[in-house]
Formats: sequence, C-alpha cells, structure tokens
Amino acid sequence: MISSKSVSGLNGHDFTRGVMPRVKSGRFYSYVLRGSAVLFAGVLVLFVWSIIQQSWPAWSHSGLSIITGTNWAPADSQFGALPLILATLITAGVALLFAVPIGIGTALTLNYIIPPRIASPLTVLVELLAAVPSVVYGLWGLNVLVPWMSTTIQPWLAGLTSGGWPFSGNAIGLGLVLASTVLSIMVLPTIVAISRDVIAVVPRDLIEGALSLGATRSQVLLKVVVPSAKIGLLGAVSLGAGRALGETVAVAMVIGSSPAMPHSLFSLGSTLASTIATQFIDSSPQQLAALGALAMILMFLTASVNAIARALVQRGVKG
Amino acid sequence: MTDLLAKLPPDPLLERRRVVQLMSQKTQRARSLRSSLFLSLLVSALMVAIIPLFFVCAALVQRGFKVLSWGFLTQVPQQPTLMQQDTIGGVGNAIIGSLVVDGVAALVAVPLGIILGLYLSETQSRPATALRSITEIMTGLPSILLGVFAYVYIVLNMHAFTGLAGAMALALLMTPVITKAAETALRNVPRTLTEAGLALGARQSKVSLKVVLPVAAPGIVTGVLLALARAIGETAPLLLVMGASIQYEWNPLHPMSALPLMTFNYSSAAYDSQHAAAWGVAIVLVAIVLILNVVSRLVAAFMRRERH
Amino acid sequence: MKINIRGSFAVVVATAGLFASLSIPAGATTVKLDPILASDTQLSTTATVASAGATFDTPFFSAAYPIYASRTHNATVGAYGAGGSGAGQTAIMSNTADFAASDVPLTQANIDAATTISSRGTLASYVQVPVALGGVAIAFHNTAITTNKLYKANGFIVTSAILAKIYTGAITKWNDSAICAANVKWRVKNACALPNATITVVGRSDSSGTTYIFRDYLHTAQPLILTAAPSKSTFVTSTNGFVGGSGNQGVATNLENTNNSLGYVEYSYVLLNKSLDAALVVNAANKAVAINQAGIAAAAATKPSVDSTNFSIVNASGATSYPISGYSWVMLRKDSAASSLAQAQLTVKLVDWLAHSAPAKSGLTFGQDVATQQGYVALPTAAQNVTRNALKTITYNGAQVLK
Repeated sequence: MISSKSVSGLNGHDFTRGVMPRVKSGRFYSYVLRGSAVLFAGVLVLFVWSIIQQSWPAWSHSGLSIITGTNWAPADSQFGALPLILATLITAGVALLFAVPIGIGTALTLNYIIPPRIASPLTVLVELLAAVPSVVYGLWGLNVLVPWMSTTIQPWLAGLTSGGWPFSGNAIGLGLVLASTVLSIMVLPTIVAISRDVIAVVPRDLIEGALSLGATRSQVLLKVVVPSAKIGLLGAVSLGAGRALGETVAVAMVIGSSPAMPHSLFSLGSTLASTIATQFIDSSPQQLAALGALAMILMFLTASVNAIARALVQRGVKG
Repeated sequence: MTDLLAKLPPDPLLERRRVVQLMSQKTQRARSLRSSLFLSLLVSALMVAIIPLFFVCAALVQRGFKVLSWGFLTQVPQQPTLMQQDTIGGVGNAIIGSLVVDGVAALVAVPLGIILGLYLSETQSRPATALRSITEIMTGLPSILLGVFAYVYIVLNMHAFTGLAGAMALALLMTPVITKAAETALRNVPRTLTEAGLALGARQSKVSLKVVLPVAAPGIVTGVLLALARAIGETAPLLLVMGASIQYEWNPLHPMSALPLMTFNYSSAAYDSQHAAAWGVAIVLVAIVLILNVVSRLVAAFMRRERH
Repeated sequence: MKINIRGSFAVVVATAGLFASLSIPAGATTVKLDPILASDTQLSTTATVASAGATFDTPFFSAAYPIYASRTHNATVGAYGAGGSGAGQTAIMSNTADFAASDVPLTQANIDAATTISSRGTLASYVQVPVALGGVAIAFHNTAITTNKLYKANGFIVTSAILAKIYTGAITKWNDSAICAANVKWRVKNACALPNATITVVGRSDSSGTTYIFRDYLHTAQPLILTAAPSKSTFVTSTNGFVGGSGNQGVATNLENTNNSLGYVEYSYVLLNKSLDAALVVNAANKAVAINQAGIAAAAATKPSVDSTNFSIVNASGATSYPISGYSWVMLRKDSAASSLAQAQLTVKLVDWLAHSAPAKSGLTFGQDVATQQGYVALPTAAQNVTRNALKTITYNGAQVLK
C-alpha cells in the first residue's frame, strides 16, 4: 500500500499540498473546506469562551478560595471546591491503579500470547466494554455492585487494614471505592486499545534478538517490549486518566453525592463532573457561576492530560 | 574398558561442564516456570477485563427483559400514585426524543465531519495540524463541558430548554470522532487514485468527491456509526439542557426526553416500579448501541475484504 | 413566547392531562362538571401552564394535574418540573414558570441574592399562597430493627436532640446511649436491644425546602446543638459525610438501597416505599407521635393564620401534634407575565383549584381532596379563604384575573 505521505513524481510536482499547480482545485470546494475549518475552529473558541464566561462571576467573587476552600454549601454561598477536586483525583488515581496493570496485561496478552484467531473476538469483547453507555454502568453499579460491595468487598478490605486507613469508615457500598471500581472498568478499553497500538510497533528484531539470546517469553515482554514501548504506554495511561477525570454520570450515580471532605476510600464524595451534573439544574445563578468554575477547572485538567497523552502516544507509535 | 575409564582421574573440564549443565537445567526449569506463571497472570488480566461485560449484560437481561413489552416501547410515561403504584406507562417519548435529538445532531455532525476530514487530509499547513491536534484533544474532553457550552449559548439565549440545545452539544461531540475517522479513511485511499484523476485533468474537488470519497466511504461510515453509538448513550450534556417532557415530541424547539435521560431519572425515582423500568430503558438503549457497533464492525470487515 | 419548564431530575411528572385518565384515585367519584364550575374552568383560547419547584409537592401535583386538565377545556397543564424549592424560586424569579412551589416562601434576601436575574423584581411583585400541608418523616431502613418483635409494639423513637446529634455527627450508632434511653422498651435481658451498627445518614444534595423545614425544627427544638439559622442548604456531618440525594425521591431511593440508613423525606415518599419506615418523633409535649395526617393537622391547628412571613409550625405544642410539619407554598407574579389572558386565567384557576377542598357533599374533587389521598392534610378553611383573596389580587394587563 502506498503511503499517502510519499511524494510521487509526475513532472516532479509536489502532490502533498493538495493543490496541483496549473489545475483548478475548484474554488468553491476549497472555500467550503476552509470555511468549515474556520467555522469549526470558531465553535471551539466559543466553547472555551462559554465556560470562561459562565464562570467569571464566581472567580471574581470568590477568587482562588474556590480551589482552596473546603466548604461546598451553595445555598449558603460557600463555594470551596477542594473536597470535589480531591475526590476527582482520588477516584481517577485508584481507578488507574487497577486499570493500568490489567489494561497493559490484556494488551500484551492479546498481541503476543493469544493466537490471532482467538484474539480477534476477544478484542471485540474488550472494545464492547467501551460501547456500554455510562448511565448503564451507573445503573449496574447502583443496583448490582452496591449490595455486593457493602456485604462482601468492603468488609474484606477493612479486614486487610483492620479498619484503618484507607479502608476505614462506614461501609455502605456507595462511595469513592465503588466509583473507582466502576471508573477502572470504564477506562480499561481505552488503555487496552492504545497500548495495543503502541506495543504493536515494537521492532520485531528486538524481540527476536532477545529470544535468540535465550530470554523466556515473560522476560521478553517485561524487559524488552514494555521498556521499549514505555513512552507510548505512558500516553495510554494518560488517556485513561483523562477519561477517568471527566467521567460524569456513572460516578454521579454511585459516589454518594456528598460534598464533605473525603477521609478514606469508603467515604462518600462528589467529583467535579458529578457535582456539575447533579446540581446544575436546580441552581441559583450564583451557584451556576460556581459550577462554571468547576467546569473550567475540569476543562483545564482534562485538556492538559489529554494533550500530554497525545504527545506521548505519538512519540510511542512513531517508534 | 569401563573400569579402565573409571580408574582415570576425573576430567575437571568435563566435571565443570556437567555441573553447569545440571545447574542450567534447573535454572531453565525455574525460568520457564516463572515465565509461565507470568504469562498466565497476563492471560488472567484479559479474563478480568472481559468479565464485567458479561455481568452487565446478565444484569440487563435479568432485570430489563421482564419490563419490556410493546406497550412499554410505545406509550408515554405515566405517574404512579399511591393507589396505583405500578402504572408507569412506557418510554415511547424517550425513544422519539433520542431519535430527534440524535438525528439533528447527525445532520450537523456528519457533513461537517466529512468536510473537515477532507480538509485535514488534503492540507498540510500549520493551521491544519493545529486543528487536527485540537480536534483530537476534544475527543477526550468530558461531555458535560459540551452541555455547559450548549446551555450558555443556546438555552440562555432562547430562554428555553430545547432538544436543539441537546442536539448541538451532541453534534460537537460527534464531529471530532467523524473527522478523525474520515481523515484516516481518506488518507488510506491509495495515492495512485488521486494522481490518476488529477493526471486526467480533473479538478482536485472532483477527484476528491468522485474518486477518493467513495473509496473511503466504508471507513467513514464506520466512524459515523461509532460516533452515533457514542452520542446515543450520552447523558451528561442532555441533563443540563433538555428540560423535561412526557409527551411525544417531534419539535426540537421544545423540551424533550431521551433514553439515557430517562434511565438516569428513573434510577432515583420515587416508586419501585420506576426503578424496575430504569432497567427496561437501559436494555433498549444498550440494544441500540450494540446494534450500531456490530453494524459498524460489519462495514469495517466488508471494507477489509474489499481491499484484499 | 412562553418559556417552558425545567427540572430534568424529576421523573415524577404529571401526565399530560389528555392522556391519563388512569390516575384518578380509586375512591373518588367520577368528576361531575358543576354548571358554575364548568364556566369557571373553560378558557377562551388554548393555554399551557408551566410549573416547577419543590419535590415536597410532587406526589400531590402529579396526581392532581391530570384530574384538573381532564375537566378543563382548552387547557394543557405541563409536566411539573420538580427540581427542588431553590429551583422553584429561581424559576418564578426568571419567569420560566407560571407558578412555582417551594416549602419555604421567597424572602427579600432570596431576591437580593439573585443578582443575575434581571426580572426578579421585589418581594411585592409576588403572591405567595399555601398549597399543601404535609409532614417531614424521619424515614429509616433498618431490617434488624423492623423485623424485631419489639418494633411492632413499640416502634422506633427519636427525639430532636438525637436527630440533631445524628446530623452533626455526634451520634453514629443505632444503639447509642441516647437512642437507647429514648427507646426504653427496647431491652432484652436488661441490655439495649438496638443493633450495634453505624447509622448511614442520608440528606439532600440540592437546595431544598424540605431541608429548611427539618433544620427549622432542629434549630427551634435544639438551638444549642444546631445553632445556625435554618436554610435550604444541606448539612455536612463531621465524620463520614452523608449520602446526598437529589430531590425527595433521590433521598428515598438512597434510603431504600442502603441498609442501616436514616433520612428525612416528605410523608408520601414513606407511604409509597415498602422498604422504608417512619420513626416516632417526640414532640414538644414530650409525647412520641407517629407521623400521620391527624398529627400534622393538630400541629397546623396551633397556628391558624399563616402567611408568607409567619409560617413555621414546627415543634408545635399539643399532645398529638407531629413536630416536623410544614406548609408548601406556591409563588405567582402579582402582575402576571403570561403571554395571554387565557394563560393567566389557567394559572390562577389551577392554583385556586389546587389550594381548595371541594364543597361538602358536592361530589366534586378539588386539589386538597387529591392531596389528602396522597398523605397530605387538607389546608385549614381559614387558609383556603386567605388564599382566594390573595389570588384575586393577581392582574393581567391591569385587569383582575380571578373574579
């Protein structure tokens, strides 16, 4: 297959620019194309501006206390979002703690261990995990996982630390630990898909060289493939992190919607995204501005994580 | 002869070699045991990754099927009362609502996405690269932010909660996905086709539209179906901008319901019959999304077979 | 152009009147059109009314709207957008609803705080009338307690001190000494028989008038423990926080899904949920009363004349009064912002119908009759008369709407 990046030479003209000299490209056509690009870019600018605009009254009223304050009580005009930020980071972090090893392990398995004929349908199954809507995960977490968590998993976890941190507190099923669990299931397909792409470009001669030196298969995977792909894998993890930070509905349904500062993994909490979702509709205008501020923090967080992730993945896939 | 050999002093080199061989056999066994253990750990990771899917499907079937009926799919919701706690009506209005909102979203996102895909695949300028990067970053942004955007620019200006606002938020969600799929599909069309068309004297626009696009069509269709599947399942942006409605509503300028919205609301509703109904709506939603996914895969497989 | 209603957290919505005839509660006779009423409820042109607000009233409004709409010519009663009392106040201030419900009336302070709503006006721009009288139940879900033999005979008793301490985190266990002391009959072999489990506290995550009534009660009865003046905002307990629910139905769902949980919801939500039970609350006369319509009515009787500035009936005196009772209010614009006379008429007439009981032996069904079937108490006659007079002050283009 001819790469689209190759410059073929018909009279030496450069065909990569899209406009062939001495051939009309169709002025209407290029206007439509360029116009749409400008339009879309404009919409993106508006999008960012809308969030800034919505949040401005809150920033000018409360300033940085939104990020540092610990009391989120909108009806009392208190907008300290630190508990929300912490809950966001904790749930995403714990979710990644599980999703990363399982995800990379799954990617390695699908690429190197399982024969391709069996790997294809299994890949489809992993990708279907991503197709399930967030609200269905929330419903499942709420009705199926909550009883299981509160009667089985949480007591077991508390037993591990004898009721100490981080498994201290009342085990009711809902809370950070369930939100992290659901999140890890939801970001798994992303990590698997990107990891597979990244692992697939590890040069075959590296692997064969290691094998010929007598390395076992696990040594090849652990000491050759993973280190070779580590930048790209980091990118996959970052993409997963971006998704975990922004996941809204499933988290809102299982995290308990409590604005209090989380103390342990069993605590209830509320993330940035889940707070916006649950409180937006019945908010006073002042609270709407504060929620806009939350949106801005979330946008900044996820955009930067995603940007870093893309850069890493591109480096990783280029080899 | 052998006793003669036995009387010979032991050859240190032979001895060394035998000892090394024995040791290496042991370490070899240990190493391959370790390797096998690690590999089985990896395979178990795969198993762990797949298991939740089965649990979710099992729960959906177990709890959702019994709520389904023709009436459930076609009637509008009814309010249960203390005396009649099981009259919940149906979710027909949510199905129509999803149809309208996602249809309008697709009407905007599909042409825009394809045009942007054409633009990005043909232009190499710096603005194009910047647009590509930003578009890719957008695919990872939380959808609730799109809801805030739609609220600020559409709901506040129209002074109403409308299906249109939801549709625009979803269009903004779908466009980057379709753009990326379109660009990839267009770039994968062999350059020779483009060059042949240009060499025959056709304009770039004609070549793109009449030659390249049809060849890239399966890839684009795959992307469109996947974007649609994602948009149908999105709840967060709709929560903020759609309002509430319990009638059949075809006009996007009115508030309307949608399948994911109804699932979310029913999950925390007052009556147990509504909690059960949440699973019924969920199974309808998942069925639609899965069908779209399967169809997009079939199209992709068809495309792969076509090339070889 | 009339603005439509918001409130997408409520599925507890009214059916469009034209579809539902099934929701007429059993026990009500078929609605007859009294000749006087017939003319009263017919509108000249088609009109739609939009309403929003407190989830306290959702069971009432959802059952009542279809009945009204089925008798009224040319009227469409839009689904009730139950987003909470705070949302209702915002809705009426920004004119996105024709009338809004809230468990605590609008105050000048609320209006002053809404700086971004240009149409908010002043307190004098609004008419506020009581539309429902109900109680806030202390609902709990504890299978160990409810399956115990002692429960049938003695119930589960709480006091204001216990509730205040639960909601500030001072009491965390079901068998705390204070709770055991209040439940003297719960003893087996001279030891407290209440379960040794942690209480999971459930509260509201949104701006709630029900929270206001509950906090009003705790502040009135236990001012030293709950020092802050009541407001619509949530509590935050010190240790584990509480499980937040959106709307009364969200709290009810959380209670249903979590064993060993306790929370406050409007009475009908306990009635319609089989897993929830209501605790007996010790009132100001030191009697443990169950929540029922008689208790709520007794509490209301201690303050016969209520208005939007003097409305609190919590911790009422009287041996049979239920201490956590309260009114729910409807707010309308005094100078109607409707887009047509028919719409203004529909709005005012609907509110009028909701706030009144049918004349005795008339065989008709008015709003308060529907309310009593849903677990509320009919508004006292004095309150109903005051309401009609207040509604008569509403004008559309200068002309009185309700004659």
